[in-house]
Amino acid sequence: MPDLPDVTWSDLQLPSLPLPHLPAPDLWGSPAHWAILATLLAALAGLGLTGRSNRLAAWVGVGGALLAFLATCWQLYTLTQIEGARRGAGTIGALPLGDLDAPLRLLVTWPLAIVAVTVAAVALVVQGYARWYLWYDPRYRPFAATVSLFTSAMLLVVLSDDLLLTLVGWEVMGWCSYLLVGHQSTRSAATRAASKALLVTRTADVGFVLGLLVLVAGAGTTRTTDVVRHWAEAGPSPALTAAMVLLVVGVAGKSALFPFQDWLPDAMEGPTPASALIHAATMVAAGTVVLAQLFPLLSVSGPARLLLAVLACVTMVGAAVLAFAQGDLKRLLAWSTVSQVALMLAVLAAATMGTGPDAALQHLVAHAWFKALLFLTTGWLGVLVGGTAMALMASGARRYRVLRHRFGWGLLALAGVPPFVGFFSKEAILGTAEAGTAATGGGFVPVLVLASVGATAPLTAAYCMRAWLVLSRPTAAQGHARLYEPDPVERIDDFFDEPQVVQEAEGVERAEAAISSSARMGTSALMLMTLFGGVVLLLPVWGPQAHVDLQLMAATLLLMVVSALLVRLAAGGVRTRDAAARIPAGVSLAAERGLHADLAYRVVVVTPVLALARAVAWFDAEVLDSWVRGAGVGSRLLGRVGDLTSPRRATPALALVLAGMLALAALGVVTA
Amino acid sequence: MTLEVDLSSVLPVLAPLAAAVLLLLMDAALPGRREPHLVVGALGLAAGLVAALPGLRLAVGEARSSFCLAGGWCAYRADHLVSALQVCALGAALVVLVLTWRDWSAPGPGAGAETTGRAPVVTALLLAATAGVVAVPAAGDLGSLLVALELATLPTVALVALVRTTWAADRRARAVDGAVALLTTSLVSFGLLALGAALWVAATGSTRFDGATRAEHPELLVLAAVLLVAGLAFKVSAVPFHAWTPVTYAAAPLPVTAYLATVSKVAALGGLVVVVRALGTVEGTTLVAVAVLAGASMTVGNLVALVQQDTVRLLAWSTVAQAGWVLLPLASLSAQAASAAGSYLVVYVTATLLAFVVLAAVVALGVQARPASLEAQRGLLRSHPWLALPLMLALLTLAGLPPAVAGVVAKVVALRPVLGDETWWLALVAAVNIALGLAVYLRWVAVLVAPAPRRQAGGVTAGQGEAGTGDQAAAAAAPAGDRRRVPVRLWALTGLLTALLVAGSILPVGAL
Amino acid sequence: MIRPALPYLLAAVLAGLGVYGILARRHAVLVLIGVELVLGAAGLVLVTVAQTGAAGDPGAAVLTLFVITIAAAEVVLALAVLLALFRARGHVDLHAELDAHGEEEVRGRA
Repeated sequence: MPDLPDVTWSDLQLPSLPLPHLPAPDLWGSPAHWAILATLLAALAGLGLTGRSNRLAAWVGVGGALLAFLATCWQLYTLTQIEGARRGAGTIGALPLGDLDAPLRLLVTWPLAIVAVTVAAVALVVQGYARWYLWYDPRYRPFAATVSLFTSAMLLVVLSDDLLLTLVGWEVMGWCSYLLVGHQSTRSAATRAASKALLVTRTADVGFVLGLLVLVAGAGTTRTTDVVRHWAEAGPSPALTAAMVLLVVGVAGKSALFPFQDWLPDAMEGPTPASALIHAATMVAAGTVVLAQLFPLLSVSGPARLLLAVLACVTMVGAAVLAFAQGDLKRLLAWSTVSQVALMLAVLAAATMGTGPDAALQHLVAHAWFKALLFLTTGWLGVLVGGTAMALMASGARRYRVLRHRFGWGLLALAGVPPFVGFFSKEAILGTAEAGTAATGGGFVPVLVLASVGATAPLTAAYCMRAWLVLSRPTAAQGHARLYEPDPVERIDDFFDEPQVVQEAEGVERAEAAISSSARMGTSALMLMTLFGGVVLLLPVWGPQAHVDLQLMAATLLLMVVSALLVRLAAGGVRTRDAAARIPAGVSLAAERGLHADLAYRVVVVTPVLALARAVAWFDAEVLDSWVRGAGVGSRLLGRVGDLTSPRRATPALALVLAGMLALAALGVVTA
Repeated sequence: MTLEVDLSSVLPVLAPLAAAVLLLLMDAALPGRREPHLVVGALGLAAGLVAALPGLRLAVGEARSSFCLAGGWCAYRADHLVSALQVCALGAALVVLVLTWRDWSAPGPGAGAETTGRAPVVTALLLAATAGVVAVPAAGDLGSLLVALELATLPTVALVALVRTTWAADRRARAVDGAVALLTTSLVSFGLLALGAALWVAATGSTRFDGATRAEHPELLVLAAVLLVAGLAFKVSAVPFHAWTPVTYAAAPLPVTAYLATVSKVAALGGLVVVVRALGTVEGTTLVAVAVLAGASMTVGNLVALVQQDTVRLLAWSTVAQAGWVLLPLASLSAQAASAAGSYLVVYVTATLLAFVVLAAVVALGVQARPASLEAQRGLLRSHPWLALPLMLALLTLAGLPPAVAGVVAKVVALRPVLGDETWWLALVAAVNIALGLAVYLRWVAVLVAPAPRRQAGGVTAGQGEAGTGDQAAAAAAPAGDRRRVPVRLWALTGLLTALLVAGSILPVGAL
Repeated sequence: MIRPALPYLLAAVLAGLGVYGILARRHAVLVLIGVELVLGAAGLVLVTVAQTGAAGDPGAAVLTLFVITIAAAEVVLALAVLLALFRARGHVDLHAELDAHGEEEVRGRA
């Protein structure tokens, strides 16, 4: 075994360069304020002021996202100029909550600043893309406004220094996700998927809120840094463990870990831009951000880390396996997202205070780039071929050359092939997991995480290879002689003209691949980031103090290559070049249904709850209300009796008078 | 023995009496005329009203007295509360007179016995009864009390029985039946009153109410007080002395029913206030009896009113229930009990009078077959909103619901002495009856607000058969399809009473 | 001076007879007589009080006169109403129905 040098991550990092001192304009507020408010106001303006003009709504949406992106970039610059690289800011002032201290502050630190830039950039790309994708959609305006609102909420979660603000952003994101997934509200499949997403995540959010409550109640303040300091000083305790376990449950819901995983594949019913934003870059990763902010607390809670690790590892491997068998490219990418998010969370469980949580955030940034790219490109191809089923998408990358590199680079980054960005983040993860193993001396959690990551890498490579093989299958026409040289794709100025379908004799494919220039630019930018994003990940601002185990790296790459070759072999004899065709139909169907998780949700949760609700409603209507109804019936009955017995002859009336007199006299004398 | 007579104080009693005598003389001098008698009657009532107004500015403890002896005792003593009751009674009597003006001044069809009309007789009866009502609260001794009470009661019996000969025989017979019911009850009650007065004198040795009552035998005094209360209770329609109320209200002409429901109650409460004040200086042991009366009246009245289909009967049973509310404050020992009862009575009189005025207007419109039934008033809010809105205001006042704040304040004022006394069982009964009362009145309001049914063609239904009255025949004689209009005087009365209720809601007076 | 208990006893007997008359008789005039008996009892009590009570206060005796006068006025009115009843119905039976219940009568103006 050759003696491999001992490389640490910091050796690979870029040297820090002194940046020129730019004159900072004295604007109101900090860049964090601008970023959050710009998108929030864009959302409100989009809902209220755009009237019936799609164009105006598009300007508002893109403008808000652009402003947020510029603000977050400027924020990066300002952080380099500040000593200590932390910048706090207040928002609406402290809330008067008596003993509880709620300062509602924002805070920017290094890894989170890059996350903020990533979120804003992906949002900008998605806004521009959605303009083209939803050109003919009558509900484009609320869509753009909801995307702006969502961006604002996610930025709030990333930049908040207050658990109350985090909760607000968290809940708003959940609601926006419901709106976006159910965008085509007349399709029952879409509304069902939206309801399912909302219900599953909100069920888990109970844990999230309770966990935050315990943390806040114990610390007496909602400021995150103070909460962390308080509980870290107090040390491990049952209360802290309970809070962190509840938080992990809440994060598991939003991030689609087992057993909450089934909402995410179904959420693909939403439009592709929404999927790209929410289910690739932002919402599913929000849990990672929150846990990273509370990382010192997580690292001392053994049971919470164990729970997180177990859930994440099971999900990681299971989702990667299920992704292989999906018959729809978007669902494949959805299961891939489930697996990758689980990867981010697993490394949080394995990390120690020495390594810090930065590996998870690095993978978050990397995943955002390549998954958004893949989703948007899939959407583009879906428009061209009329759907996202594998059968339709076959040969798509071959037929439409413009998509070829996009798909290719995205899949390579997903698989983690050097020099793409996915490779660097995967190496950071492996290094952190190994450092965790060394620190705990072979503890169960880091070992489990390491094993799962090692197992997931070849599985990821497998389904990426499968997808690529299907997409780049040679077309029937290409089997024959080439008849024409494909020309560059027609570009259209999207804000001023409708896409014009040019019918020319040279070939329909050239005309069909028309896309707006801004959408195309967005996907190109993402594509470039998947290649050069590694530079971002190697900036000296990240902190993982981990060793890069070159042996492990080599072993992983070898496994990935082997797995890819196996898939290529398996796909060789299949006409569609789809390796998953080798899976038996029953297994394949079960995998497409998420191993019947939906049925399990219905039987275990939905049916008992609905039965209980019906029982309570019956009790209220029949038992409790019957008393109320009975009062009315009884009164009327008594009234009728009184009416019938009221004397109508003179003598009984007089008898009543005299009897009354006697009764009163007796009463008066007795009580005298 | 010298007797000081202050005529200006006693004018509220003298003016109606003088007017009654005057118009009887006028009838002897100018036979065959009807309008002048009504004018004289109205003037007499108005004069009495004006004379009673200065009493409203009296401070606590002051009184306007007349017929006083040297020792300081006065046979007529009107303090602030008594003056308020007097103003209320005279005003209500004036409203009833205006309400019935056209009916009493109308001759029968053709010549004959109706040409002279009954205007002098019935007006004189009304004036005499009102004079009695005004004198009762100011009575200073048992003699004045008994005389004034009978003066207030007996003419009303005659008013019930004296209906126009142009009415159908069956209708007239039913009116006499109603008069018999009221007569028998009032006779027996007077017997009880006399017995009670006799026992009172036996117990205290004096007929005077002068605040220094000492009783050698307290049980006897209690018995006497109970008998007095029992004798007065029929007039306020308290249970179990109420059996005449639905019979007589349904049988009498509508204005006379209005009189019975409002002005007579003032006399009853006046008498009770006199008795309770006299007792209050000795001991307060009849109060359980009064509490039982109040609770029973409220409950029975509300329960039976829930099932009534005819609005006049509904108002009759509502009167029984409201009698309970009027009696409620008197069941406590507090000093403000009498004032609270008086305040509630004033609000009750205004609201009930408004309800009767609107009911008379609806009957005058006569659109439906039986205009006084509950079903006939369905959808009144849409067909005649200016009639339905005052009626709804009156009903909400009686129920004690906002926006009729006057009614809410009245109920609060009536409840306060009971709560201050901590008689929890009575407060509980009152609370239950607030709910029952809401049901009673809101049932009527719901009918008013409901969508109107399809209207019958024209407003005249010929061939009514069994109970056609004279006016129905007159309406049949009018050209078919002629839309009946509400007389102007009814609009004026409605407006006046609504304004009073609204003013009472904006500036609630509270306890007098 | 006879013992005051005796007039009181007589008054009680009279009142009892009067109440019996009110309740048990059908004929309206007989009921009136019952009422008069009760009033007589009250008057007897008052006269006894006037005689046996404190001297100097003639209130009780005066009240007796008031009661008698009012009773007379009552009787006048009562007989007039009973006459009207007889003319309308043909009898003065107080056990007869006074109110045909349940019918929704038409109300006219007085």
